[in-house]
Amino acid sequence: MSTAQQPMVGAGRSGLLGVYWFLGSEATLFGALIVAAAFFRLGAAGWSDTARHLSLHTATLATVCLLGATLGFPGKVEVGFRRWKRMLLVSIGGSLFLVLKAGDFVQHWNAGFRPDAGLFWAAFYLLTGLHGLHVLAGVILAGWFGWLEFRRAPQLPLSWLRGLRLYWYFVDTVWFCLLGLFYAG
Amino acid sequence: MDWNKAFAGEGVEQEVGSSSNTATARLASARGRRPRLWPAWLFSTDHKIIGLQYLGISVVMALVGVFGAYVLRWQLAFPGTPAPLYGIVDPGPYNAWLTMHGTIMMFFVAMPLLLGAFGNYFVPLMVGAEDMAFPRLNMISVWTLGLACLVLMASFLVAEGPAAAGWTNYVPLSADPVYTGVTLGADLWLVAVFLDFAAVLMSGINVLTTALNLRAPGLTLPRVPLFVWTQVIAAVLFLFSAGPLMGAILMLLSDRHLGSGFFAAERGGSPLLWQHLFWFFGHPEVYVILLPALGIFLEIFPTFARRPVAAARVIVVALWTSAALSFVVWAHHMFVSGMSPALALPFSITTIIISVPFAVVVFALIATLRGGMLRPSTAMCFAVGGLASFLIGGVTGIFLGAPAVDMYLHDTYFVVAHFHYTLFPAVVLGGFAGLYYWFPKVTGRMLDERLGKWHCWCTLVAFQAVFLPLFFLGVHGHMRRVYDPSYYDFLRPGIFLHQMATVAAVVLVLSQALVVWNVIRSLRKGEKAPSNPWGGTTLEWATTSPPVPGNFSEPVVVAHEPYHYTDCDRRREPVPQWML
Repeated sequence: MSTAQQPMVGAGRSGLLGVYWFLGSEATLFGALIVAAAFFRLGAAGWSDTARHLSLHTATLATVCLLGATLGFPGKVEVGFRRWKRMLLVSIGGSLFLVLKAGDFVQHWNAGFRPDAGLFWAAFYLLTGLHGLHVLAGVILAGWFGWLEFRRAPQLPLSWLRGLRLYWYFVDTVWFCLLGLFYAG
Repeated sequence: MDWNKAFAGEGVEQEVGSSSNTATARLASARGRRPRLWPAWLFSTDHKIIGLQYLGISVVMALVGVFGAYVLRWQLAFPGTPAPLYGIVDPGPYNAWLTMHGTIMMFFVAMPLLLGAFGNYFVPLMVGAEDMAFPRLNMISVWTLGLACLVLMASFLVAEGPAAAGWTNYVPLSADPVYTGVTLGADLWLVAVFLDFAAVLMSGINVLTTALNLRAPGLTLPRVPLFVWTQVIAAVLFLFSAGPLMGAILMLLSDRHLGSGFFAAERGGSPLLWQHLFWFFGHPEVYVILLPALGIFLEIFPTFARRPVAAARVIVVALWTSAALSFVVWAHHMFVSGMSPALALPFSITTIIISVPFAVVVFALIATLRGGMLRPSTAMCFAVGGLASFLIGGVTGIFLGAPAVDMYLHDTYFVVAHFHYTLFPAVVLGGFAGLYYWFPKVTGRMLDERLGKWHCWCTLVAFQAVFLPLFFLGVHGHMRRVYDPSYYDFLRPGIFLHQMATVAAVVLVLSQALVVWNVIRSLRKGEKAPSNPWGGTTLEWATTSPPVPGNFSEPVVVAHEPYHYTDCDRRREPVPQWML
């Protein structure tokens, strides 16, 4: 019996398992920051008042963009829809989200609401900024995967695509936590 | 392959098939390209070479960390006199060396050595894999660690010197340069530790995936060697504990450069938050370091006692239990911090409870020796010495878990002694036990046992002489964060204990020349090692010494659990895992 004839115990699933472990560590990173910010929210009297400076319309639009991008990953989508088009949808949705968030940042920064303006703003910039960096990484990966598919390069490992999908779900989940933390009065 | 099917998980069989074919192709090509030149060595994705790179980094960093310890010990023993090879130790540099000694030893020596070097080299071998699951990620991991080391070492070259807020980097000392006089050095510390954690996370993901997914046919979970279990548990611990401190580092960088006040009480923040986040990571971190060392002991004990590990499965359960408990004990580091006293009791209880699973492991190891045919090799001597020394560290930890006792002892040298009695046996004695055990496998040469025994005894005796006196100093109230003990009347009578510890520390360092000479001599003209010199039963002994590229020239299939020995003419013969 050889290793070539009899596969290793879990061969073929390593990529996806690696992504699970990675997201586990990411969850503790965001988890710690979100819990810390939640404690600050509980202890700070003016948190809800400050939150009113944020635009709920922009946040809703950003959420729609992020969820729209998630639709690029197949669930019950018709067969035959080309992969590069899906990846393009993810990239566009993610990019729009980033543009909206960048506009949000610039607007509040110029209005004098900077990280030194209070714990709310410090937590807002740190958490949404870190989340935005994760979205950016996802957009870059989706763009790269889409480009490889468009060029009809050697077929992408499926674990990469499944891994990106998992990653994007994670980014969505974090965003919903941030919505509750910063936007829900 | 259909996109929807692919996402639904179908088509895995195809990947398995192609993966094993690819694996064979890689194995074949690997045999023809053993890296010989340094660029090939530097950019290798072979887990064995990367393991040796981790070893090299940890040894180089250990030299810096040990020099720091020498500087500190000299100042404590002979305050105000110039230290040979250094000069007068001023208060600022004293704080900086204190910070860097702890940081380097914990994050840049212990983890790279026990997880990076031993984990990388032996986990794939012991599970029968040809390499790690993600070889390129493995290379990126060691490169990230190298970058982290460079960033940390660069802080010695900046104007105000390296960080000086202690290895725990407590705020407000670390948040505002007004306290330490260090600006850029403190930022470099934060960046270096963040990068170091990223490197270990990558390594941990690799170890976990390799151990779970790339096991040889027949290597079911109950048959996995205990060393691999300890590496897996350590990786899980690090994976789920590093995030909070990485988040805290981002918050502190924001405080320092963007003017936020996460840790500033006067701005609504909480200085205690740093301590909570640090120790939520910090306590599991102790087990991240300790467990792989226990794993080394757990491999050595049965091999040289010629007996199966007693209660091997119970040990695995005990290790997982201790890992889970390590997440709910962190506040015992903060009994004197000003946190709510109501929290002291639950954290005290969990701290006492966590000693139970470790006691199970220790008793199982002792039971393994009972009735065995003991062979006191150097590896075995280091393992037994390491376990005995660790026991002292563990037992004194129970004292510190009681808040009433901790109130008095917390800021004394008792804690320093306790800490070094847990970490030194794990990192140094465990590391040497692993070195003497696996050196023949890695290099194909045997180490000289006589020199090894001398090295072992000198190290063990000198270690006790360095740290045992610190318990007495601590009990007598010697503060641990004091620069010049001669400044205080009540501390002056204890300075001779500092002097004794310092002389012993110098002896401890000098005695390491024995292992250096042993290694050099063995590499040049040591006896050639057979594939299984000690009669081990786990898979790393199934291959040649040193292992061929691709690890196994013949495919391996695991037939049974490890640590099997049979009685044969009053001799106990090993029954290796791969023996059908």
